[in-house]
Amino acid sequence: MQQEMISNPQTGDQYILVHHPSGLDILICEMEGFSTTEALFATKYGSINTRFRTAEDPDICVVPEGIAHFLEHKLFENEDCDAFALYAKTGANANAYTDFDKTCYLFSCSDHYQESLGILLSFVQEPYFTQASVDKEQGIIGQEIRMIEDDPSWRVLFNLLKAMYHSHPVRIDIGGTVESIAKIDADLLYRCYNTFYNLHNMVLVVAGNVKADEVLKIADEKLKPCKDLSLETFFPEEPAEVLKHEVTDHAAVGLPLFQIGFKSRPETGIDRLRAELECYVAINALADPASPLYRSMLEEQLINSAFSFEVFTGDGYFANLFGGESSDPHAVRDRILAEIARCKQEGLDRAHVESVKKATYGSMLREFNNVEATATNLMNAHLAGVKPYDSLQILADMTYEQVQQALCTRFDPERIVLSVVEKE
Amino acid sequence: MPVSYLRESLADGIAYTSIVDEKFKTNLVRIRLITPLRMETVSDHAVALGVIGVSNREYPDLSALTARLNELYGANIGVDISKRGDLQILSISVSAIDNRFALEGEDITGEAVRILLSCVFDPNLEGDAFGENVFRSRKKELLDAVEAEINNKRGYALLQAQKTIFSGEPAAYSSYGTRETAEAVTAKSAYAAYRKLLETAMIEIYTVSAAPMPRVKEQIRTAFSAIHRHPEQISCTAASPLKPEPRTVIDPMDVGQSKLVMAFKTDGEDLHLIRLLNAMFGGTVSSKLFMNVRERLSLCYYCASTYVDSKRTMLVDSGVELANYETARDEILHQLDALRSGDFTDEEMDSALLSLVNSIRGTGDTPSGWIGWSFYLYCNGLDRTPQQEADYYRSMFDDRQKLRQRLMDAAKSLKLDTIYLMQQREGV
Repeated sequence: MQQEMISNPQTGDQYILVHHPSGLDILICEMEGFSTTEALFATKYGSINTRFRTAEDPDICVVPEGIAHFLEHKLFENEDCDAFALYAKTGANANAYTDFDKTCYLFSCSDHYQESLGILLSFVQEPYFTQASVDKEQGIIGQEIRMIEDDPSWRVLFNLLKAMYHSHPVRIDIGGTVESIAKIDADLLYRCYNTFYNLHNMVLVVAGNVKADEVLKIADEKLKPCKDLSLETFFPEEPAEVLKHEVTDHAAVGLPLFQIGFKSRPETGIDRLRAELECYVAINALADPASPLYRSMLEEQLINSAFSFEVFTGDGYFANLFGGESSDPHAVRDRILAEIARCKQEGLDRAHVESVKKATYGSMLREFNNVEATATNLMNAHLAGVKPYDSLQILADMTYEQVQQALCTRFDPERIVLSVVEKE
Repeated sequence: MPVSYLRESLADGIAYTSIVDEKFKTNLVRIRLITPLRMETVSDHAVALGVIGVSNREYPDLSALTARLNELYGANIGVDISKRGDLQILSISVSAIDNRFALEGEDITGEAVRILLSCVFDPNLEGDAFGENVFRSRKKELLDAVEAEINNKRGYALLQAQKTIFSGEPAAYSSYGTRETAEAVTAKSAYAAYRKLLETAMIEIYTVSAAPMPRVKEQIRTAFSAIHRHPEQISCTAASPLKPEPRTVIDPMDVGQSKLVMAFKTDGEDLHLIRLLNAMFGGTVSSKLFMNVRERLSLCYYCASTYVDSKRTMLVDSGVELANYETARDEILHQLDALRSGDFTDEEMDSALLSLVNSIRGTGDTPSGWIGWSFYLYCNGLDRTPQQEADYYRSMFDDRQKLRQRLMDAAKSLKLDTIYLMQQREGV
């Protein structure tokens, strides 16, 4: 078994990376003084992975939207019992979620973590689907989809993604639709399970109140070795241009909600992390509460403190997003465009860029203060093909010119979308 | 790693709790003002807290303040308004990374605390009113927040339901008031209410840090010693009276999924017992509501119970199809009946205990978790560690037969008070 100790001299943190003979990579972070243990067992399989092929498939397989999320629900049921019933005997707080590019099964607990880890590793490796249990789940997931449809902040984001992307599946709701999940049956679930829940495509992270040798002992007992299937995932051709520049929808909301997005070129691995951090510093320098843009929009009552921004990236997509509430979202868009044009011309404020870098360092450090955030960081970095401490180093090495370059290339006014949800 | 915990009195009605826990990389200081929730002042307080959370005399608006906090490695000043029963709770905090991580040897925490105290004691004023610009944006913020309540449908249903559940009591209102109370706030009324609040509120101050911070304590002691105090006594629990007959409220809205809220009230005073019962009823994913309303009958995605101890009220909420509303309501009542008649297993009791103990023992793993713990002790007049609390729950199981009977009695003491339905539009 190959093991590496990876340390971060700046913060004093470290973790162990194990390439387990079963094919699984395991990351263990022992955190002294903490009572909580957080375990995440994740597969690199999310809502966007609807086209794939393994070495055993003659052709690319295309599956219905929402299947990764459906599978997440169904895995909790084994042949003789429910995983929640097993966790009830350990007291762990267990859950799971499906994202665009991953599905994650997790628990947190402060006692009996070894038993809970055994449960986690077992149930995720033991699928059991029948048509009756699939039919039963349609009702529960149907209600989850209805609940999300009533959430205007979710709707304003997905309307934006649908307008921004022509064909990349990031435009599709993570849970699919009531219609698309109706096409799911037990055979399809097994097909996707056998493809993506291969240990070579997965990662286990355990952080907090743990001992590495105890974790590895349980891993040795529970993990079933997998053959590497040489899995490939595919995305349809996606043009650089957006599909539509503007989309408006109606719902029961207070002030109109908006999302404004700039579509940008996708990246992978360390290049994605670097581009993401450069954009993060640029977007903060452009629009954080210390910026002239924010100050003037707040003074003119165009925005309130719901105003926020993010760099939104994953396999095959990259966008810079601004969101919030405003009585005049078009004016907000125009102000953002004008400020971007000015900063491209005159350059971002150097002192502001430096202080944003300092604040970003502070916020990264804070995450190592928290068991849950540490575990999630380790998982996300590993699934993205980078090391968890790379971001601190990239930030330390980042120059003003790189930030300015990110602003100039990744906030293209030709590739903007405005999405609004307002009252009827 | 050692954890030290010390609560002491700084002045009349002002307590200072310092928690030292070496594992943390950040320091947190929180000042919490606790006052009766009254319609006359609720929105004045909310706007005032908003103003002091984004400005002071030295940094007169959010932009100036953020620019300074960015330099302090993103130290974060935040405010929070909540209610506990009939009380309004206003908190202002600063969180900063510990000085040992400063890249240029700065005293990050000392400066962050100085700025926080300036926000509280040296606000941005024009005469005897808050500065007009910052006031105006914070008043709009409050009005927008009232408007935006409708965006979160689950939260909105709970808010609307509480108007009936706690009808005639301060708890019927939100923690920041209504459109009308918000519109009435002026820069002068907000500042006057704030001045009075500093004199009359019960004040709980907390610090959670990696090492003792004697200088911070002196900074805080000096700042608070300047106030002329005459604190108003408060009560952390105000049991809500049971209605003579349960009320049903149907509230049509433009939504695709109906939301059901049910309230049950108890005259029982044993908090630990009813928390255990809540975990068995609908507080966990192995509870009766989750296992039956969701898993067995597939009626919903969520169906959960929460115990509001300050009002001695159990709330149940669920998102359901309108066509299934009556089935869900009847099943919830049926599951409570099962608890009343003792139709529950030893395993159900054990898993409720394990789940409670599990969450209690993790309390001290975040700085705000420690503060939440201290506040829980304060509200309930307790003095114990999370470990002792966990042991207390375990000791309840020493006589299992007796506990079973007590749980049945606690379930019987829960009486239906209100059923609220946010009714989805037709044809969905």
